[in-house]
Amino acid sequence: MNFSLFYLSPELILALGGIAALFVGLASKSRKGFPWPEVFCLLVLAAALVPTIAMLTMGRVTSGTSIFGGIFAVDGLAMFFKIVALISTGIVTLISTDFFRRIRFHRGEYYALLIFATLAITTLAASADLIMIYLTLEFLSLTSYILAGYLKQDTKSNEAAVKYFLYGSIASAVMIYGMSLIYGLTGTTNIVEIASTFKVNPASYSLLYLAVVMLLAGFGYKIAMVPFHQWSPDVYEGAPTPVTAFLSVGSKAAGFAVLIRVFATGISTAILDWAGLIMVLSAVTMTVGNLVAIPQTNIKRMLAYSSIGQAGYLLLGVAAMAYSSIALPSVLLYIFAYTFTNLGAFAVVSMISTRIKSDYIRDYAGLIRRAPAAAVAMVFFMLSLAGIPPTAGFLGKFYIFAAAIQSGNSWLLALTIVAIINTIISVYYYMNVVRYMFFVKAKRIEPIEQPGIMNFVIGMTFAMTIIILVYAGPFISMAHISSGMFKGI
Amino acid sequence: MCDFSKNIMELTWLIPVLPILAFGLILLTGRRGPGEGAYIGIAGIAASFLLSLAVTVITVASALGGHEFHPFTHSVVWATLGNIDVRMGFAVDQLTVMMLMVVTTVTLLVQVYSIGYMHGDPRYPRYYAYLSLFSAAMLSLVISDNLLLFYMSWELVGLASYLLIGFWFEKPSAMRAAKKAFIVTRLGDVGLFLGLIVLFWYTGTVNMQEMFAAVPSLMGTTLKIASVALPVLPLAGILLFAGAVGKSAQFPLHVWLPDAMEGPTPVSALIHAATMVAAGVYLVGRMYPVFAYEPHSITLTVVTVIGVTTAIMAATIATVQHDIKRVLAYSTISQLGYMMFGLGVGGYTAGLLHLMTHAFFKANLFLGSGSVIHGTGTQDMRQMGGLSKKMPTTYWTFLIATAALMGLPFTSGFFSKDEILLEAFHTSLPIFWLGLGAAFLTAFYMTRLVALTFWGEARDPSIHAHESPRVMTIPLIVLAVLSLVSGYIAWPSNNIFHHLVHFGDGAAVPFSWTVMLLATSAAFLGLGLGLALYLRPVISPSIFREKLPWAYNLLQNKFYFDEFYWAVLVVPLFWITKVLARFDARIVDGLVNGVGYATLGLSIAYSWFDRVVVDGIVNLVGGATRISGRVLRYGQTGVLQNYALVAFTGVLVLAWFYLFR
Repeated sequence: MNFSLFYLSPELILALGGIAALFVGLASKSRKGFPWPEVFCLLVLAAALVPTIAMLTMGRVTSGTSIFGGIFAVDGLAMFFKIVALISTGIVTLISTDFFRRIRFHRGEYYALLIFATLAITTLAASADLIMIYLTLEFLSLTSYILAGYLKQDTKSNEAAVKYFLYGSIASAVMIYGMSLIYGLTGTTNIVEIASTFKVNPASYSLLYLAVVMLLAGFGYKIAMVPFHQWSPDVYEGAPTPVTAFLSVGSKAAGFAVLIRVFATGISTAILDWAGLIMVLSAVTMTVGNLVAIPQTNIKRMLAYSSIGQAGYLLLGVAAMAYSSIALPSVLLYIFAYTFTNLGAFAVVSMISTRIKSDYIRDYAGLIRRAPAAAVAMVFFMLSLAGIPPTAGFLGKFYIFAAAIQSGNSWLLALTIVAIINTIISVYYYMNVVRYMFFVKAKRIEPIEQPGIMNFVIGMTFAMTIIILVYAGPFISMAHISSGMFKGI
Repeated sequence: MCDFSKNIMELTWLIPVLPILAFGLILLTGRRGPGEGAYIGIAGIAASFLLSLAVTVITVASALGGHEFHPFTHSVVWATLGNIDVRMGFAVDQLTVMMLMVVTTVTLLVQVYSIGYMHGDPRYPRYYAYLSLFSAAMLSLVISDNLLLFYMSWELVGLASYLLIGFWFEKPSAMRAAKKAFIVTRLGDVGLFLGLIVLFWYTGTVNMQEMFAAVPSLMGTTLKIASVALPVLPLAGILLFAGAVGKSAQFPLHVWLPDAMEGPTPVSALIHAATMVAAGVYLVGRMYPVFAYEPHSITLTVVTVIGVTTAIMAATIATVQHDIKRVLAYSTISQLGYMMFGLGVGGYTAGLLHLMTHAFFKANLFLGSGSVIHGTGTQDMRQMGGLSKKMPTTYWTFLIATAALMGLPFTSGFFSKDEILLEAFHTSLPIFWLGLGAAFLTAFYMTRLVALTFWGEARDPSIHAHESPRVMTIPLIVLAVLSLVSGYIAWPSNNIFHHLVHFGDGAAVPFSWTVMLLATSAAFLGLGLGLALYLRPVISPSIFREKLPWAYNLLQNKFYFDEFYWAVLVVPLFWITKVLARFDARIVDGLVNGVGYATLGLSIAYSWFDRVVVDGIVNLVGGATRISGRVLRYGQTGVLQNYALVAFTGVLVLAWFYLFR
């Protein structure tokens, strides 16, 4: 066993940092003065990011490395999702700083929970054992429930937390049933051993199939995949906007991490053609997400459906993994691009909504006069989500579609056409926001205050949205290095 | 060459890059930049100057070091045409470093001088931006190792020249002059480009060294156009020379340079005296192997004839001009002709030496005249006079530069002019005598200029002249020193310059007392005549106008070149354009309109189809999409039990879908 404490250092830093954050919160009760909890949270995340990047770039990580008897993988896939989680939580922390400025709440606990949720994602990304996956998924869910209901006085926030909790419990119950079926079939919970057991001893096809569908209920709920998506618009709408941002990026990425690991490593397509199943779900997910996004009037609900649609495109990439070697790097690149774009969009929403005290798209009318910089940045975030150049989203979609086409599989080709039609549909509701911001006359014209920290967040995410396309080389090679250090079947 | 030197040499590409950075920076910062942009420009060219100095020291040291000298080259593939790699790069040899020193020195001094001269101009930062653009283009022209980059830079210096001549574009005359300069030099540029293509076609490369290596194999090769067989080498040489004729204002394309004096005077000094106009001479020097593929080649004969014609013609015109800058402009044309015929008669070293010395003393003269204009507010010499007391620094530096231009003994011009005449003396006596005549005329008109401007009494009492500020006089002093001493590197018995810059086996033509005495007496004769007419009028200055009115008018009107071109080229051209315009309006437009109406008819039909059928379908799709969105939305009831039902149904449907397919 090649065990080293170094492999575990991001998780150790996050665990200790999360506990320490509680005490930092106790020590700084005053809302005026230096923002210790926020700064401490950022420091912890940065401290965890350093060994993660070091492991990815210094060659300490190889495909198939794992510790603790194979339940904790130390490979490129895990590292990539850890980086995404740490960066996105960092941005969410910055957004939170502004969002909670006028609201009385328990700061120390909030940031501690954010750190714990991040710890859950990083551990989930590395979990290579069904038990471990279940535990970390629950860990992530539980922290997320609390975060979603963090605005205690707000009934919508309470509703979100309760709905999220009940729905999540059902989904994870279904999932653990599926896991128990797999354990029954193979006698092991380690996904590498599951794969090798299936190879020598093919299981009953129908039972395995049922188990896979049940697993998908759990994973699909995390990534908001149709038909396990219905919690997301309600939760996204009710949760505090920074938490919504966290759920739409970090939590979703965690779901994809575990989905990719279990399917690529644990279940060979020779035994079960899961790619076909994913393709069907992909088509349904993107179509439902994009169609229902159209009539939405609340921008957070619109972004919820938008992120369901985005999950659909990503599922297309996951399905292509069965046929194409460039599919996995494409998915990773897409997730990276999506991270900055979606967080940027939520940063704008958070900043504007807290000031105009409305989440309705119609209240964004004339934003170009009231907050010109934010409005312009929002245009680019919308373009990126729709996958239109000159933005990162275009690069991501281009790579995923290219991978699907390169695979040569005719079903994937058909699905790509569906995806392209969906992209066109999505332009309608994305540009609807732009239409309101630029062309609809505002009822009020006084400028909206833009604090420096939000200018920084929006500017940074905006810059990344452009840079990932313009200077794509490093990001493409990061995706390739990460996927190169991950071995599926 | 040691490693350290090599590292420095590899930085040569930075020499043009630094000014272009300055250009960009000035454009970005505008008036907010340090010194309103002036300091950025000066810093850029000063850095280039220092780098050029280092490159020069290394090159000269290794050329004098005794070992066999190879030009330092560096290039990268720029484009691939078929199987030919077009490489872009730089080459540094002795000729390059000479030009580098001339260009960076004069540019630096002119930029410093301009702080004073352009003070208070509303477009001050833009002026420095243009100057920096010019220096960048000129320096990349100098270091280019291939004709393509050379040509690009050549066009860029033309552009910068155009922008700077027309810098005060509110003046219609400046606007016209800029246009004229651009168009007239373009005529020559076409030749240069054709020459480039001919050489590329026959040698398969744009690299100059590779071209030269291919020259012997092109002897006797001919290019057949219709039934006329043109020998390739003279054809290419003369085409290249056409470019030089345009840029260096040689007969018959010299007409733009006097008008170019509409630009700010420091620009005239830099571009239209010292550097850009010398680029034509540099082109001939750089491409000399193509010109001198055999001794006394046809190409060189053409160069000689054009050069000597220009020298004499421009010198005669200069004798009767009243505008101080115009006199200097014609003098520049005449001196460029001098360099050209110097190169033409085989005096490679002599012509290029004169290029260098002339750059210094003519820049000095122009900046001096700029100082005079700055101090008096007029360019007409008839309104000046008696300035020697009021502007002593300007006067003395001007005097030194004048002496150098006349070729008076022990000034820089003395060495370079004598060498050209020496070469001509050995090659062709008629050319020698014509050159001597030009030297005489030069001495005469320069005496006249100095006498009218600085000596005697002030003729216009309304002008209160004052000496220019330090920032303008210090460059004058530096240039005056250079005008004096820069010739000594070519001392006849120990000619370092010849050792560095020579062509072929490099044997120097033996020194001749006869030539030196003749040349010196020609200069003194001109000086004497000038003094006799203008200092103590023994002879009335107007005698020429009275006795030979037709000749005076001919010169006053510059041999009627402008009028000739106007009547022979411009008027017919306008006539042709008018005819073509009418053809366009009646016949072409008629056709176009006919097609237009037909299209309109068709498009009305199409539009109906589009509106009713295509739009109908599109709207149907859009409507269906929106309606399906609305319908699907009803699934989102907000009731958690329904959600759970959907999820479980989903699991069941998926299971059913695969289990029983």
